[in-house]
Amino acid sequence: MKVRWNVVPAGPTCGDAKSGGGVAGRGVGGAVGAGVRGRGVALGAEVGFAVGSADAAADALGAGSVDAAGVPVPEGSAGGLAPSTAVGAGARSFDDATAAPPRTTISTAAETRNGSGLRLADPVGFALFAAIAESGTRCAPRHCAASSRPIGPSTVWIHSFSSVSRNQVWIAWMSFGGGGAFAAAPFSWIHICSTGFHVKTGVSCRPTSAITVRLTGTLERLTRSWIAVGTQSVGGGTSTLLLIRRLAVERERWLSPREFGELWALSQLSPGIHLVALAGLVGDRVAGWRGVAATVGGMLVPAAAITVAVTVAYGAIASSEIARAALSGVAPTAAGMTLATALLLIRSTARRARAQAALDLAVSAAAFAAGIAVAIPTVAAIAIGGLIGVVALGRERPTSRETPVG
Amino acid sequence: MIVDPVGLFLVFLKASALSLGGLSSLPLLRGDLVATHIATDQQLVQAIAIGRVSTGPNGLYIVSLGYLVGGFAGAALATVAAAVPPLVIIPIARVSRHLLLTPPVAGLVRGVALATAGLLAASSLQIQIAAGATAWWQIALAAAAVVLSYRGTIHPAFVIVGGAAAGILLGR
Repeated sequence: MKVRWNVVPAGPTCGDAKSGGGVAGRGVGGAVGAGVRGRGVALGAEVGFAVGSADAAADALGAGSVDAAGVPVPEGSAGGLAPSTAVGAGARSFDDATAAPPRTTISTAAETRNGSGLRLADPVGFALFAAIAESGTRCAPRHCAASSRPIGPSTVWIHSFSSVSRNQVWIAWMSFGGGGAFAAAPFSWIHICSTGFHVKTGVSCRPTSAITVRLTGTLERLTRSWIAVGTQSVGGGTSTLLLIRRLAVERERWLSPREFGELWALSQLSPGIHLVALAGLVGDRVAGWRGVAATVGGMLVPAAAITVAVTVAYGAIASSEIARAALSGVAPTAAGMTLATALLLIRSTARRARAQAALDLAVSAAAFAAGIAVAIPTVAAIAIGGLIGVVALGRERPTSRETPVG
Repeated sequence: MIVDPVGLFLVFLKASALSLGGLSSLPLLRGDLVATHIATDQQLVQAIAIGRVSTGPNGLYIVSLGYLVGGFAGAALATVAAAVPPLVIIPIARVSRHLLLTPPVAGLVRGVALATAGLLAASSLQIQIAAGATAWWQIALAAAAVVLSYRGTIHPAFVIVGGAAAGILLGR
């Protein structure tokens, strides 16, 4: 049996975050029409899928979509869609202002159906502010606004994540074959769920439920929240780390606590500013290279601008008597804080066992002496330290520093 | 002062790429900028203090230093130089996460960190001396800053502000 839905022509934008909730409400129909090409129902099919989201949709949602927001509404009448009528049923009130849903092709072959769910191909030509979710895992590699988990032969959990987000994620999924309360195939549902909700559906997921979730505006949110991290944290270090943790783990749930710890440990191995590495790793996890650009740029650019502004402001008063007096107090303070940073770095890096600690401290002391004597260039001292480290200091599991020095 | 932008960028990039953690680029920068008279120790101290008071990671002091040395272009170059090296961890982590957790890598990072810490301690003393902060109250202030920062109970910005207040009271 061949199943074919025609593809409804897409509108100008693909579920853009700015397009508003009413659009999502009306876009529901379009999503189903967005194309399902089945090769054979019993064997699983290639399913063209469409999911989008609308920003701040809670109040903007029209009354017409209330039912869609509440419960999964089988598209078409009971018993499933007749393939030839699917376009007509799906394409209601579809005009230029409607956010046309993006289309994704999903393979629902058996191996991708099992276990963690369905994998999505990264579609070509999406807007910059777009990240595709891989469904199925709880804290997915790409940020899931929502993810799905088959928890039984007839149940699938739709779990949506961005709890603070006012984004509304809309999810489309289809089910082929029998199972649960639904006998006939194929079915499709569109479900609009507010993020932060756990939605339990009675969809049969045994032959397959292809579920894709798409949150547009991810990068925008990412950028915005990391600008906040960059501009709200003063002085770096632990306070910034806590801010990032609160954002990534508790508020947005981009990462589980364990994943965050892992990324943080990785960031400690990076050259340069560790917090930048952490930002990049989180951005990469959430939205790929675009996410890296969003997080690192968001954190650094405004913070650097503020730093320059402070420097300019200081330069304007630098020659005054009071500024000079203040600097005479700030200079030793800054030097002392730098020394404290060095001591903290030693404390967090040196190992605990007595012999090993002595060895570690000896390396630091030698570097200190070399730095005072200026007999060798700094790079050479660092290289020697690294060499000694490779040869002699790696006998223990990697340290996880408790005090970030970033 | 007119500084060759490419050379300045390379100096910042090298300092960022060969350091572990924000402030630890200081010994490298001091070696490359102060020894060649592009920057002074006073500017270095100002930049560190501004980095602590300003927002963002305190490794961004090199942005302030970049501005002091090369104007807005210098600040922009320093920002890029600070942003790029940490990101090498992303492709490395993608390719070989397990390799990063082996003893040689742990030893390398530990060795570099310990050597950097020693150099950083040396730099901090040299900055203090070079900036002319050797009066008794200034040494006491530095000692207090060491203790407060090491214990970490007071926010670094307040420590800087306290230092400025002490300077206004005592440093005229």
